[in-house]
Amino acid sequence: MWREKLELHKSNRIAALYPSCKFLVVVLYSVCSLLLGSIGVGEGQYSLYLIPWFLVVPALCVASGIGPRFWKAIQKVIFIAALILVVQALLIPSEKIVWQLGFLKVYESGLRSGINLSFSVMNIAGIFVWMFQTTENREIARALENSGMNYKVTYVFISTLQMIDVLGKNSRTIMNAQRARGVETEGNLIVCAKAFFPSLVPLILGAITNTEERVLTLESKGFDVQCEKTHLFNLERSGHEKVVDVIAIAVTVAVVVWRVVLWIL
Amino acid sequence: MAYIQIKDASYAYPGGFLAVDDINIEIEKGENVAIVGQNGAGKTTTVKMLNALQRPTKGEVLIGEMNTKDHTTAQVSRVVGYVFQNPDDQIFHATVIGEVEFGPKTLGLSDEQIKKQVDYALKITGMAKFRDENPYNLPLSVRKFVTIAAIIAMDTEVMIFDEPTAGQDLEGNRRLGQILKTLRERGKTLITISHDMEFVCENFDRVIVMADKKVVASGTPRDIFWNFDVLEKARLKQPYVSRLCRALGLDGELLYMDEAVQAIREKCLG
Amino acid sequence: MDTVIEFKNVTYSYPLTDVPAIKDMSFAIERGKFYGVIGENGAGKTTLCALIRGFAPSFYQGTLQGQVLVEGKPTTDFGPGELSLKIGYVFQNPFNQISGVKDTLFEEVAFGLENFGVPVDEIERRVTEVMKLTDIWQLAEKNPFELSGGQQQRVALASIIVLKPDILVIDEPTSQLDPEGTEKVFKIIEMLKAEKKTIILVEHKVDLIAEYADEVMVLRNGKLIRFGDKQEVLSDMSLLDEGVQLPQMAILGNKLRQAGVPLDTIPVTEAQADEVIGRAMQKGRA
Repeated sequence: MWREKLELHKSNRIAALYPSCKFLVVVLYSVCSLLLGSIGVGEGQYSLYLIPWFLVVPALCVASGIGPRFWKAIQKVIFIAALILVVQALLIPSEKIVWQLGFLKVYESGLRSGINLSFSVMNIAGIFVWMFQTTENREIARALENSGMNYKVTYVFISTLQMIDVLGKNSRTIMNAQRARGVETEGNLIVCAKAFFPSLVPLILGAITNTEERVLTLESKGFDVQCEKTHLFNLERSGHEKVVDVIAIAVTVAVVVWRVVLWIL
Repeated sequence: MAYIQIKDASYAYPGGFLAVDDINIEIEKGENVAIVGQNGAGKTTTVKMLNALQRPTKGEVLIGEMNTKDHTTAQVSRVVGYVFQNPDDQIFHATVIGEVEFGPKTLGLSDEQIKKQVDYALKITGMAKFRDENPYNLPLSVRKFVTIAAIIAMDTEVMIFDEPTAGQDLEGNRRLGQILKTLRERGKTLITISHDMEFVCENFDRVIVMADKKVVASGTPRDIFWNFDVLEKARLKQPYVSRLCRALGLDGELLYMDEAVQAIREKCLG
Repeated sequence: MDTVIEFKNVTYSYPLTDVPAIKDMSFAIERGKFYGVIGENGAGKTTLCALIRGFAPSFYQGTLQGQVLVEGKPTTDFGPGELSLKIGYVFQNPFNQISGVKDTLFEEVAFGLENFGVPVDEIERRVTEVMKLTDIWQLAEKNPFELSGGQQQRVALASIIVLKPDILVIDEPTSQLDPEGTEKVFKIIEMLKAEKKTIILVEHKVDLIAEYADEVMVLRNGKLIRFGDKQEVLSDMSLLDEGVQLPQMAILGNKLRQAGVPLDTIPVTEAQADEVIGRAMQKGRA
């Protein structure tokens, strides 16, 4: 029976959590992240608590059984975060210089804001990566519908998620087409910037012209019909949601309390 | 030395999937060649190796003196022009003339040279009347001619056409034939990938058949379309006229309508 | 005559255009017959399909004069979704017909049935059946976006067939496909013909129209210039001057006649050509 095939029997209990529970974890984790980021440590008041806090994300991913996939996805985030750190620390001048090597100067205020920003980015991006890597699109779709969201809005949301992958493939085809006309794409940053526009326009125009036919296709498949929709796929709660909710809330409360205490002292 | 040489070339995608397996192809300057075969045979990958969109993971590809491994795609595209199957993957200007000018401008030609080449390209593709139109206001099949004009304007030595007849009507096919004839007369080297056997027979002197990532045969259309072993291997059918002549039991490995008419007439009228 | 679709003096213009895309067109489509629609690009073939299905004027807006009737009722009088169950529509571009929200082919084909609230057991049964018939059952667990164009087009057909419409409007389904893909699509169309569906097919591959169609409609500049039995229409050589491609066999047959070979009829299909020319050759031997 196909329906049984579709039912996701995830062996990993954390990955099997209901999407709204995971979303709560994501939100609370981000809140804690922001709170911890506001705590300055040491002479330069660096947000050092963000660093161990970030370890929660990979730990969670390994526990959810998606370690290798997470690593692949997070590499790009790490690259961007490192870029932010370097730009902030080296290029935003201020009075106090923390370290110097030749003409490279690491400024204190830049280092401070750099650590805060880059680790905040890693934390928040990281926890979202965890959520999307452990949840399939159809689970998110059902969870949204079950929570009362209009099925059309759900459609837009899920199709956008799918489209991102597809646009990636399309953009490669388009870039190839432009390379064949003499547009250089291999080389330095300026070269890549010049290739941007010729690649972007067909991509977006293509997406727009394709949308018209897609809307008609949806209509041909009864998308506009007002009736009770049936669903092949049924989402179930794993049963551990309450426990996870409680832990997440407890940790957040602890962080809030600690922050307030530090603030008062 | 042939102008274009693909020597013992293979191409494997990063994941390991082999698209082309140890092929050898030689094309002289001024030849016109059609590459045929079912989807998945390796035709597109082979042709992409010709303009360095893909570089062979084994073996090498030489265009004249250039080894594609030593040049960027943009550099090779000065010599090898490629018209993609879907014009919407290439067009990004708001006017036809803007689109056609882009190639020669990117090549850094003088204004005079650009004007000359662009006017020529627009003329032989019949796009001159749509100069200032937005390409997206034109039907898809007409947009195809805009991308063809864009490559002709670059005046490359070699031109590759990927499925040029897809979605074309009678007039479109006629115009394509004219364009190919004109380019042939100018001595250009023309390469096409096509599923339209009639189009191939009308316009190309040599046919290269690919199947299962290898080159299976190379010869004149007559050699290829009457070689049943090759056709079976590549899962291809003969052109309609040939099929009929075979069914009627006529001799002579007939391909073209006029010779078929001759042969049948002789049989009927004695 | 059981008329299922009727055009009465239909003139239609897209919004913001001066020239009508369809000019004063009148015809009647009989239930259970296969109609091929041919003509040069820009003649109005896709507009014709959009009018039959009701996308024009409801989606495309524009001005409509005259009447487009489906089963006696104007297309504008149908409620949302009603026409979808009567008329199945397949577009030229396989990529655009994927819903974009389903991860497996099975769910993709089931999408329409879910929207209409069909019970889950029935969905499973119908989807399995249709996927087997359209030769995509073995791809059931794949992501629709990972398929080839030919496979995607069969999915598009399956997604529509599963809704069991009686009428099918199919707009150039094979223009982006290779010969094998084209053959598989036409196998499905053949199956639909055997089930006595009413089929309206727009195609440039006129040799295939000659194989399968009962009647042929020829469009030029928004007008219907020929409508009739496929044999009559596809052997009419004057159509070549109207920008319309004719079957290879018909062109060959005509050239033979001009060269003095007596043929009873101008053949339009290979099988017919074999028969007719074969006979002439036998007479020659006698």
